[in-house]
Amino acid sequence: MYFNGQHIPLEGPVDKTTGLTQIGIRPEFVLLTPHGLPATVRKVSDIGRHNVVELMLGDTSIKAIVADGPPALGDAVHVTFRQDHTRLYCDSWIASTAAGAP
Amino acid sequence: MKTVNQRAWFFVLPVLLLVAFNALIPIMTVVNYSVQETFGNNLFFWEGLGWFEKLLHSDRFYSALGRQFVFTGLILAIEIPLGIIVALAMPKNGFWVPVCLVTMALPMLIPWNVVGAMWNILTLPDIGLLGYLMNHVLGITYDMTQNPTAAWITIVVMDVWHWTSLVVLLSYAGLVSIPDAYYQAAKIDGASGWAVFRYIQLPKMKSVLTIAILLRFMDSFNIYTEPFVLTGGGPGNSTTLLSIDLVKIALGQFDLGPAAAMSLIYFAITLLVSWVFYTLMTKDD
Repeated sequence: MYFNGQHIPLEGPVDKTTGLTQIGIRPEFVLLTPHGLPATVRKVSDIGRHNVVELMLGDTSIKAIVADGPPALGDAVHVTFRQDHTRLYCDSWIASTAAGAP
Repeated sequence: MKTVNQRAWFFVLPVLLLVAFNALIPIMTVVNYSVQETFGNNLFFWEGLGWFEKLLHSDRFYSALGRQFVFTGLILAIEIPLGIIVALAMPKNGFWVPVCLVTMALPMLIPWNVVGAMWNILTLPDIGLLGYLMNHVLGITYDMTQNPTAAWITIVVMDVWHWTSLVVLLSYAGLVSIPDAYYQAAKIDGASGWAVFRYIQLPKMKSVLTIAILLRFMDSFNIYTEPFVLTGGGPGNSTTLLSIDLVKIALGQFDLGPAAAMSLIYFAITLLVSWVFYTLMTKDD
């Protein structure tokens, strides 16, 4: 699956791609890494146990949960998605199956 | 001539303080969030009406609002006539009156999330009593976890089960307050059962029914717990009602500004519909 022209590896095979397709990833599986998709930090909310970091990938906003040492506002960072938790949804129904799942 | 004593206002002051503390101040904090963007650490930026504008252009909001109106419409269309029918069928005096009243009151005594959990366990396709009966004994495919129609039927039936009693009890209270003289007059004139209902019972029940519809409208329009526990808004987004979507935005996505704006629009719709309905129903009185 491609997002903003970048290839995003999904958890496994996809059974359909009709209608509105969305990549779904929970914020705890969005990782700040040295390499990956370039993003800018728009917002950091310290909610106690962890920080909710809002990142802009082009025009799309995504959230990442960062335990400690969050980036500063406006920082340019790179993100990767944990592949085994990156799902595809068609019209808000799940369309991907985990690799190795029965 | 009577003298006007303005000092009487001091008696209203405690109520005013209480309402300010538990309603006005909390809602003003929501207003505060709705016009600002917060970056955590008490860092706020002015956003103006931006969140409202975005929300009123978002398909997601309109689909949740549409589902909410469909849900409220469906349950009102079922609960109000059903409640009146049950109230008419209830005995007017004797041993069975308290039995009926207590039985009717039982569903309303159960906490909302327990109702959701009960119906979830009842309707799960493979282990629930009803789910198992439908799928494995009667052979009817019924799976509220996968099929949107089944999920909708389940949440509507659950609400009817939980809240029709309220309409019954209110209607019954209206019915028993009609003096016997009306029925005797109807008998002398040879009025049919329908005429008695249309020209005596229904007009006498008008004020309690207004309250019943108003209460059921507000409660069902603001419903969260029961459908959340039962379906969690699924399958897909098919039962994501307005309040479920609101909690997703506020606590799931942590977008406090948009969530505050949505809360205010939500509140305004509830208030507006209630006010218009109540004004129309009471304008002849």
